[in-house]
Amino acid sequence: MALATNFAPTQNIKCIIGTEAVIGDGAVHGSGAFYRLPLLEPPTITSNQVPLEMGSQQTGIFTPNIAQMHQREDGVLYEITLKYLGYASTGDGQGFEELFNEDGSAYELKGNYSPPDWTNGATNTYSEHATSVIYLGGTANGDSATDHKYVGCVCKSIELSHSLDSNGGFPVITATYVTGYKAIYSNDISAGNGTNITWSDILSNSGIHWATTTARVGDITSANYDVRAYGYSISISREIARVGYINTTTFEPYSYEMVGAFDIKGSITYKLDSNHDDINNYYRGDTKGAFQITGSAYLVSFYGLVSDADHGTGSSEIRTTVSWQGAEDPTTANVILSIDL
Amino acid sequence: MAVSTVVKSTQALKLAIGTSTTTGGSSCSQYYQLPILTPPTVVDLHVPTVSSPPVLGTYTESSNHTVHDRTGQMFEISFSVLCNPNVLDLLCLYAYEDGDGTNILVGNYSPPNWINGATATDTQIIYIGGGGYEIQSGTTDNQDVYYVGCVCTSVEITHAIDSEGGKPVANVTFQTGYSPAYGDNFSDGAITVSNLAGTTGTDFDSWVFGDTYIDTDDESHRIHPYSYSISFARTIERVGWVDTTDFSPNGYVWSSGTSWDVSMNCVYKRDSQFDSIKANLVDSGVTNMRIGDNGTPFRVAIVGVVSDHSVDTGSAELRNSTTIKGMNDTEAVTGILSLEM
Repeated sequence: MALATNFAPTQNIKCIIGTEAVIGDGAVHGSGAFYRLPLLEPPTITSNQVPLEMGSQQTGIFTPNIAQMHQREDGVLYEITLKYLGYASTGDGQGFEELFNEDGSAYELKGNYSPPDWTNGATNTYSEHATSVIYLGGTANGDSATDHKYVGCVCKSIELSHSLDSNGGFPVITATYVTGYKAIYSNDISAGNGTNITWSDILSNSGIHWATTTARVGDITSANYDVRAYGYSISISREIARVGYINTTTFEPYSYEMVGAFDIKGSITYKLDSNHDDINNYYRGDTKGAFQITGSAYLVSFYGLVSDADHGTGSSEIRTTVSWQGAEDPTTANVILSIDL
Repeated sequence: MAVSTVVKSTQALKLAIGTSTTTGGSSCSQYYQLPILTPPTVVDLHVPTVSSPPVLGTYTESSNHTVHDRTGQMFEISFSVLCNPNVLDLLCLYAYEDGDGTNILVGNYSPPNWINGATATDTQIIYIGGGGYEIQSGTTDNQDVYYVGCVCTSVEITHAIDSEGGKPVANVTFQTGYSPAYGDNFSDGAITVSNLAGTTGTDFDSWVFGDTYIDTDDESHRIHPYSYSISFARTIERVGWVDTTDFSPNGYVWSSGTSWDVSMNCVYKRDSQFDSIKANLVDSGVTNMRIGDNGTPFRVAIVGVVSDHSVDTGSAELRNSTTIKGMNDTEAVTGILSLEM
C-alpha cells in the first residue's frame, strides 16, 4: 500500500462517555446515556501498547538478548486523561459519580465509602457507576475505524480548579480513568450521533467563579468566616490495581481493586483581611473545619483539617491560600466532599 | 419609540470635579468646574469578555463559554485642562494630597488607604455635564455622566513660551473601579460648583533669569528656558468586589513594586553655562532644576538625577533638552517636586 494520504486533526477529537451496563461489555447502562464532554485539550490516546519486560543480562554476551524479553499483556492498565469544562450536573460522565461510586447530585464522598464490585462480567449497579465506556472519536484514523473505544474504565482521579484568572472563570476538571481492557477500534462516533450510538452534547456550564455569593473558610456556618475568594482547587485520587487475566487471548482482567485510601486535598485562595483572625484558629488543635464556595449556580464544600497556609505576595494585595487535607470519621456517612456544579 | 431627536454637542461638554466625603461615595460638598480644553473621555459601563479555551470538536466561539468579567473593571477618565493656579493646586491635592499652593511631593510620601466606604478624602467624583444620553421622560433626564471613586493616576504639565499663549496645560488621568452613573445634577445646578473656567493661567513670558537654573542657584548655572514639561504618574489596582451587582471594589492598592514616576524636562538655550552643567549629566548625583521664582510669576522645581539629555537642532539656535527623573531621600520630608503658580 502506498503512503496513506489521510490524517487526524486534533481539534476534531470528541470524547463520549457513559456508564457501562456490564463490566467490560462496552454497552451503555440501561438507566444511563452517553454524553459528549466539553474537552479542552486532546486526551491521552493509548493503543494497546504493553510494557516490555527484560530478563537479567547473561554474562558472556554483550548485546540485548531478544529471547529474554517479553511484552506482557497480563498486568497492563491503560490510562486515559481527559480535561474538560465543569458543567452543570445534569447527567453522568462528569467523573465525580464514577470516582465516588454514588449516584445523584450533589456528588458526595462520604467517610464510610467502600468501593463497588469490579468483577469482569458483573452487572453494573447504576447507583455505583462502577465502570464507564469512553469513546475518543477521531483518534484512530484507520481505513474502517476512526475512533477508539475503551471499556471497563474506572475513574482513578479528578482535579477540579476554578478561579477568576484562568479559563474564563469557568471550572475545569481533569479526570484520569484506567482500564485493563484493550482498546477497540470503532466507527460509532464517526458514523454520527444517532446511528450506532446516541449521545447528548453537554453545553450547560457551571457557574463562573465570580458569581460566588458566599465563600467561607473555617466554620462555614458563621458569617465571621466570610472571605472574598479568588479561586479554589480540589484533587481526589486513588490507586486502582487490576487482578489477573481471564484468558491469554484478550487478557481481560478478573477484576479491579482499590489499593489504599483516597488522597483528598483542597485549597482556597482569598483576600487577607480581618476575618483571618478567626480562620487561623483552624491551623492547629485538630479542629475539623471546612471551606465552602456558594455560587449562584454551584456549591462546593470540603471538610477536613488545615494542612498548610501561605500568604501569597504575588499580587498587589496579600492573598492567603489555605490548604486542606480532606478527612472525616470513617465510620459515619459524614460528607468529606460535596460538589454540585 | 421612534428614533430620538436628541443631539449631544461635544463643545457643550463641561467637567466638574470634587472630593467625596467617603471613599467611592457620591456625596461631595464642593465641586470645581475646570477649564477643559478638549472633550474629556466619556466612558460608559463596559468590561472585557473572557472565555474558556475552545472545546475540541468545535470551530466557532461559544457564547455559552464567554462571560463579562466585572471583577477587574477599571475605567479611565482623561482630560486636558488649562493649568491655572487654582487648577494646579487641585491636581496636586488629588494626586499627592498637597494642594496648599507650594504643592510639594515629598520623598517619604505614602498613599492613603483607599477603602470602600471609609470616611476619607482620597477619591474624587467627576461629573461630565452633557456627557449623558438624556432620556426624554421622567424627572431625571440623565444629561450627565459621573464617576465616583476616582483616583488621580497621572498628570502631565507642559508650559512653553511659544504655545498655548504661554499658558500651562495639564493632561490628567483618573481611574475608578466603580461603575459609571447617570444623572442631571450638574446640568440642573443641583450640586455646588465653583467655576474655574474663567481664571487666568500663568504666563510664560517673563521668566526670571536670575532664578532659573540647573543644579545650583548661582551665576554659572543659570539657564534661559523656552519650555518645560513635568509629569508624575503612578499605578493603582483595585482589590476584590463588594457585591455581584455593581462590582464596586473593596478598595485600591498601590501596585506592588512601583513608585511615583516623576520627571521634568527643560529645553533651554545652549550656551557657555553648559560648561558648568555638563558634569551633572553623568555624575550620579542629585541635581536640582528650577524655573522661575515664587510669584514672579511661577516656580516649578524638581530634585533628582539626570535621566536624558539631547541637543535640539530644530530651531535657529542650538538648544539643550535635559530631563531629570525625580528622586530624593525616601525617608525624608524633603521635596522631590514643587509646583507653584
